[in-house]
Formats: sequence, C-alpha cells, structure tokens
Amino acid sequence: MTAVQAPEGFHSAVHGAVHATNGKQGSSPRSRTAPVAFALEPFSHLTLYTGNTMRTGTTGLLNTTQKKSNQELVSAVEDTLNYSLETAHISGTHITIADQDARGPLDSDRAKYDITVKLFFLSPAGVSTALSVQHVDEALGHLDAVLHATDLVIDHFILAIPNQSFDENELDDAELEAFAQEVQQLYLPVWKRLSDLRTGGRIGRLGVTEFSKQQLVILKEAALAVGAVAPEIDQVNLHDCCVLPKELIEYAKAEGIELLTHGDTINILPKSTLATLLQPHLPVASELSLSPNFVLKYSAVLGGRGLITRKGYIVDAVAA
Amino acid sequence: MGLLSLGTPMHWDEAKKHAHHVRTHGIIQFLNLWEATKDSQKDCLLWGDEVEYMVVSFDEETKRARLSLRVWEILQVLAKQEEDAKLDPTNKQLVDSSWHPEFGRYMLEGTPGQPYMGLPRDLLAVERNMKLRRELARKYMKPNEVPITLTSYPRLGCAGECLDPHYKPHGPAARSLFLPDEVINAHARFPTLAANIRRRRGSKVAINMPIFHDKNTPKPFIDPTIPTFDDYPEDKNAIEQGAALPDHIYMDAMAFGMGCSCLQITFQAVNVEEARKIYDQMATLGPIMLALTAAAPIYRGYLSDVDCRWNVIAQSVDDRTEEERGLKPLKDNKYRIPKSRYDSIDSYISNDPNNKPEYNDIPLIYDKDIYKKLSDNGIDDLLARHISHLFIRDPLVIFHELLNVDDNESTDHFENLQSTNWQTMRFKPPPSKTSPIGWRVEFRSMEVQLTDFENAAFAIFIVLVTRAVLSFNTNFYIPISKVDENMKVAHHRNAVLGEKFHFRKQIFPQSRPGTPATGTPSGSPRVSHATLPHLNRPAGQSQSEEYELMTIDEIINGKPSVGFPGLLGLVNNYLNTLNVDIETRCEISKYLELIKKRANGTLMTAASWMRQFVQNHPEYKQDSVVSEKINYDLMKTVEKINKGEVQVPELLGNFTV
Repeated sequence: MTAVQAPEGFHSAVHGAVHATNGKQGSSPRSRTAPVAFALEPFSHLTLYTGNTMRTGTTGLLNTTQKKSNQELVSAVEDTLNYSLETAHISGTHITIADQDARGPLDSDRAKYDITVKLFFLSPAGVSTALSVQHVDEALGHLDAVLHATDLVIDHFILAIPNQSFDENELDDAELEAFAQEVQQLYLPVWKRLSDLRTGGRIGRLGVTEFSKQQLVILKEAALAVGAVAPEIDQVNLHDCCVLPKELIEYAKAEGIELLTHGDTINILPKSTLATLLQPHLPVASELSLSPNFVLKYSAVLGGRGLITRKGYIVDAVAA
Repeated sequence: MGLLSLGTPMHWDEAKKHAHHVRTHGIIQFLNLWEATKDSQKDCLLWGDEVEYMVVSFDEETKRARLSLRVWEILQVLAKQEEDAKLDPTNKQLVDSSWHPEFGRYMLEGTPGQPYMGLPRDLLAVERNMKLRRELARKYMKPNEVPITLTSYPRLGCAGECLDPHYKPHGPAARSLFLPDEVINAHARFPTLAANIRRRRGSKVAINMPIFHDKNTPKPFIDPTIPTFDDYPEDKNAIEQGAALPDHIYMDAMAFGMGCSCLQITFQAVNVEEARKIYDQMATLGPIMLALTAAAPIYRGYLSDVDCRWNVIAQSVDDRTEEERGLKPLKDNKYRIPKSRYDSIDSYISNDPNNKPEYNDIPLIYDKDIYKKLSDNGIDDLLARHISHLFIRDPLVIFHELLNVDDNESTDHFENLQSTNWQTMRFKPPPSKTSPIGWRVEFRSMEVQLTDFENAAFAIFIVLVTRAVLSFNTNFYIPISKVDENMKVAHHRNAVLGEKFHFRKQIFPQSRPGTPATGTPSGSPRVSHATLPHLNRPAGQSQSEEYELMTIDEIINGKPSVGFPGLLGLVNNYLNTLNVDIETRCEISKYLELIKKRANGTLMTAASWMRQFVQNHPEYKQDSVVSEKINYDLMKTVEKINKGEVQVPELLGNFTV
C-alpha cells in the first residue's frame, strides 16, 4: 500500500480527504525534515495507531529496570509522529495518524494466535465520569481496522479503569462502600457491554487489572446482579507479584481467576505527556491540550512457537 | 534408549579405504532427506536439554573420591526400567527421562523423555525434570556413588587411584600415559573412535592447557608426574619429545576432552529457514555463554589458567595429520585445515538479508566436488558450503555391517560425518524422511553447572533468547572471525569479568532512521529527533563500527546509556508482552536473576568458585596442585550443595537449588 492511498477498511469514523504532504512516498526511510503542511491546524480529535513495536525497536529497547513504565507507549507514539505524520488522514478537525507498516492481517491462521487487548480508560485524577460504552466499541473498531479483521475474537481482554492501583491493605467499610458505588455508577455499563461480548464469543476471557481481592468480590457481585460475568483475569504489577497477599491468591484459585503480570504505569498517558509528544509536530493541537479518552494495547502471539508477531497501541484523544 | 548401533568397527587402515564411499553416500542420503523434508513446516516450538553426569564413588575410609566405571550397568538398569515403565503407566516418571551412554565409562547423559513445549508455563517443568533425572540416576547407584554435574573431573588421569575399580594406564586403544582404556565406554564405537583418531593423526593427541602459576608453583613448570613407558616409540619422554609443553598441563588422550560434561540445548524450528536463522544468531552467543557458564578450571590434578573445557576437547579429538595442521607440506592430504573437528563454527548459513557476505570472513575449506553435487541438486550456496565443509573430514568409525545401506532410507553415512563435527552449533535435519521431528538447531557451548537450578536457569535463558531473537527479528551478526576471537578469550581465567568480547551495537532491524527513544524517563518524552541528525549508520560506514568490545555484563545486562538492552533486557521485554501468570513469572525471575548476577559479578562462576575452594583449602600448598584430599572435599561439597546441606552464597546467592 502506498502512503497516500486510502486503505480499505479504514475506521468508519474517518472519511473524506486524505492529506498527502511533502510529496514523499514509499516506505523507509520515512523521516521528515520539514514540518507537515497541516502542522498548525487546530485538531480537536486525534486518533493514532502506532507501529508494530516489536519491529520498530521500541519494545526491545525498553529499560527493564523500571518495574512500571509507559515508556513503550511514549516511544511508540513518538515514533509514529516522527515517521507517519505525513500520511495522516484528516477529516475536519479529526486527524488520524497511522503507521501503515503496522496495518494488515495476521500472517497465519487466527487460531494459532493468542490475542490480548488491554483497554486503558483515562480520565483526569479526581474527575469521576462513567466509562463510555461507545469508547469500547470505537476501540474495538480501531483494532479491527489495524488488523484488517471483522469482529476479531480477542482471547484475553483486560479492562483498566482510571487511576486504579493495587492496594494490599484491607479496605475499611467506608472505602468498600465507596468502591461499590463507583462500580455501580462508573464501571458497570462498560463491564456489562464487555460481558455481552464475552458471552457472544467476541472475547475469550475477560478481566481487570490492579484489583484487590475485596474489589474483585465487589465487581463480581455487581456483575452477577445485572446478569454479567465475573472477572476471569486480574493483572497485577510485576513488582508486587512475588509478594501478593495470600487471600488474593487463594480467592483467585477458588474462583478460577488467572493472576497475570504486567508492567504498566497506572496512568499510562497523562494529558501533559501527550501534549509534550505532540508539541514538535502539531503545536496548535498540543496547545489545545487534547485529553486521552482511551489507549488500547494489543498483542498477537503465536502461542505454539512462543513468538510475539504484533504489538501496538491505539490512542484516542479529544479536546475537552 | 539409544545404546548406539552395534556392529564390528573397522580399524583405521581399513576405514580410510571406505572414506570416499561414506562421504559419497552420505551426500546422497542428505540430498534424499533434503528433498523429502525441505518444505517441512511445524507449528510448535519443541525443545530439550541434555545434561551429562559423572558418577563419583566415595571411599569414606581413605577420604578419596574416584570415578565409578560401572555406569554401563546403571544405564542398562535405567534402560530396562524405562522399557518396563512404558507398559506400566503408574511408573510414568521413568518415561519422563531418557538415558544415553557417553564417551567416558563414568558418564551418563540424561534428557527429558518428551520434549518441552508450551511457553512460558512449560519452563517450570525444566528444573523439575532435571531433579527427577538426578534422583532416578541416584536410585540405581550404590550408596557411596553420586551423580555429579561437573564439567571436568579435577583428578582425571592422576597417578594413584582416580578410577573405581582401578586399572593400570596405557592400553592399546588410547596408549595414554595417564589413563587406562577401561575409562572409555565399552561399546566398540568409543575405543575405535579414540584409536582411529590417533591412527589418522599419526600420533597421540596432545592437549596442553596453561598452568595457573601460584606462589609456589615452579617456574618454569615442568610436570614431574608424567610417567614413562616402554611400549610405543612415543612413550619415552613426553617432555623431551615436545608433546608436553613447559608451563602447561599435558594430557594425551581423548578421554580428557570427551570425558568432560556439558549442557546442550536443542530446539525444533518451524522450518529450514528459521533453523538457519537461529543457528546464525545463536552462534554469536556461543563464546559469551561459554565464558558465563565457565566451570572447568582443574585438569589432571592442577589448577589451570583456563576456566573452560572447550579447547581441551578440541585438542583431544584433533585427528588432523601434520600436513593438515600445516606442519608439513601437503602430500598425502587434500587440505590444510585450520581447526579441529571439535571447534567453533566456520560459516553463517542463513539467507536472512542481514547476513552480509562479508561476515563470513574466514576462508572456508570445503570439498569442491561435494559442493558441486549439492549445488547441482538445488542446494543454495551457503548451505552447500556448510555441508561440504563438514565433509572435508573422514569418517572415523565405520561398521562393516552398515557399509552398504539403502540411501533412500538410511542417513547413517550422513550422520557419521555430521555427528563427528562437534561445533558450537549444530544444524540438524529431521532424523528421517518420515519422522515427525522437524529441522533442529543445537546450542552446544555451555558448560554444565553444579546444580539443577543453575542448569535449568541457563537452559531456560537460552530458549527465551531464541524466542526474543525471532520475535524482535534481532541482528547479532559480526564477522565470524570475531566470534572466533571471542572464543579464544572466553577461555581465559575469569573471562566473565576480566575480558571484553566483540558484540554488535545495533541489534534491531534498521527500518527506522535513528534509534527510537531510549532511556526515556517514564512519561516524559524526550525532544523529538525528527530534525536531528540521524543516529544510525550512514551509508558507507565501515563494518567495524557495527560492533565493539563489550564486557559480559554489558552484553547480558545492557548499556542503557547507549540504548543497548542486553540479552536479559531482550528477554524481559519479550516476557513482559506475554500473558505470564504470577507463579511462573516469579520462578522465571529467579533464573534470570542468577544469569544477571553471574554476568555482573555479584555471583561467581563455578570455575571461580572451585578455584577459590582449592586455594582456601588447608591442604593446598599454593603450588597449583589439587590433591586427593582437596578433590574429595570438593566433590563432597558439591554433593552437599545439591542436597541443600551446604550454602554457598558466593556461587548461588540466596537461591534454593
């Protein structure tokens, strides 16, 4: 696919004009020495598909001494802005920047892959708004667009709610009550939607991240009350994983919950980080201080061979 | 159990007449196999380890440790039990292991009964299986015998009783001044191999390892313990005749080398291309892993100045004639051959575009007729060179009964040469046309460690590196002559901390101009380099800038300041993307922690630890001599470490073995 062609199956939200700039075509090296023509446009909606971080060097070069990091995402976004901005698709004030090399179907049969998605909902600290069901659908639509798939089945789906961090201390009654309310008011609609996808076969196993045992119990109760499934995965940080509370381990075992590891920071893409990343490329959009709605991280692993063939991020942000 | 095919082996005088026959049919067999299997495609990684054990027999009264020569009996019991267990499912654990004879009559080789597969969970099966093997082996030994995973036995070939039962040295097969032929596995193949190497070479093998000069070691060191005999012309005086070098520990038999143990890992690739890629990428790591696993500092009762076995084995099976070694002009032989049959690989074989022709910078000796035959049959240049290079050697052991075989069915003649080219890597075709097993690669440089925990750690590390290599599509290529330089350096005493090794700086594919952000602090992007000068190699940059000298610490643990992640960084970044359950991850972390600490010097290699053990022993006289009592105490301590009765934090940190 050449850089200026509108790819088939591109996400439906992106219609219209395709900006071709600089007259540069073809693949690597795709570095840019002059600003793009649309650098100063006041974009209020940004969608970004990073490259395959396994093949851009991004993942391999991470500094593994950090137990929690968003370095991979930051490097991947930076890389995409550096090398894929020219081929951005612009529709009004919505800009979609996609690394074209990362797009395309999986190489082998779908059945050979283990596909994992982690969807990070982002909202500024202290702001309590219900997670948007629409964002779930949009995020999955973007994933289908990246992998040239239709209703791709996701083997592991992990929901990361904003600002959730693992707390090994027991919650007191007031905290428990507060968390139960948050679940009811902020998370349950999205959980119900994911549960429906799980029941419908679109999602294999559905889980959360950074939940304590008490929080898992609360989510389970709330979910069952509305006919949704209980969490089947709890992803905890690498740093904590060798010293996890016994109650959590026992509860997980009893409930059949997989305890998996991860190395992500709690807030994977702060607004200020995004602004800094955009500044050199799209200074006006940067000043608009786009606020990330969600970040979707995906990976495709050929399970039998233990090979990671695809890994990337999808970022969606709007002006508040 | 593969107790090797039985038959009547030929004396060298006869075998050499059939060498051409074996090579010619070996190539036909390879081509038949290639035609049938070149498109073989597998879905799964399968892999396994091979651990070699020495059986040590303790005499508590005389405080002596000796090598037990009754391993054949133990193997036969294990084989029988294994057969019986296949019929009796309640006895499954015996089927989980598989046992093979080795060169030394005191040696056992154990492998998992079935290959390991799924990642990452199956990784935890490795140490369990190794422990099971050790336990099974022990079960069929006498109470005073133990299986020890020691790379080289410190007092092999010392005067007095180093073997149980004792035999006088100097048999007709090896003609060794130090060892009896009874140290060689009784199977006809092994003594014939030893004798035919000597006959082909035209003299006994001569192994000389530099002595470690301690305070009281004589200078020059002329070994006073080398005996003389009157049976053969070369017996008189090894020193005067020049076989034994001053300031060296002299050894004169194949058993000194092939009687060493090692830790080998074999992977099944999905297809030929992947196997060739893994072969090349891992070949560059051979010397690094040799230095990191160093475990062989003592030979024939002396502390040496080397830490590893590799060169000892290379010299112990060096069947090259004086002409081939370049000591005489070529007359009866075809080639001058720079290396022993046991040595580092001489060429990269992958058609990966990263493999540039200039990396194969060692002039490759290969059989032109065989190369042509392979080329004419559609084998590409790199593979044809590889195979025709292996085929410059003569077959050493030919069985009368197996001389004429059906080349459509048998691979015996191909395997005869393939399996007596003992190199740092081995590229293995499927065993037969119809075998369910695919193309495989064997990683052969590592030294065996004292405990199952350590052996599991290195086995798992290597398999994870191969997964990271394929997932990240890494490029470790450096000129192969530099890999050879690394191989030399890897032997030096304490090379793991004291030496530097050539290693490639930019190990990721260069699809991007400039390297991606490295060392970026969490959440704070660095200044975009879109408008900065490119950091990568501009066109025309010389090849020598592709690599540099690094310490093992840097190669393993990385150089964050310049964005070099290290092999461990690669593995961790690979693992962080998999869905790994916490139990598995915690276990794997311990293994990786051991690798990290060995590389950065927090923990000692087995070689350094054994040196320290000897030098701190009250009976040690600072004269490089490792006495019977020191050896006994060392073997006892190793056994106690395995049983968890002695803690050695300098070697193992706080890890439980």
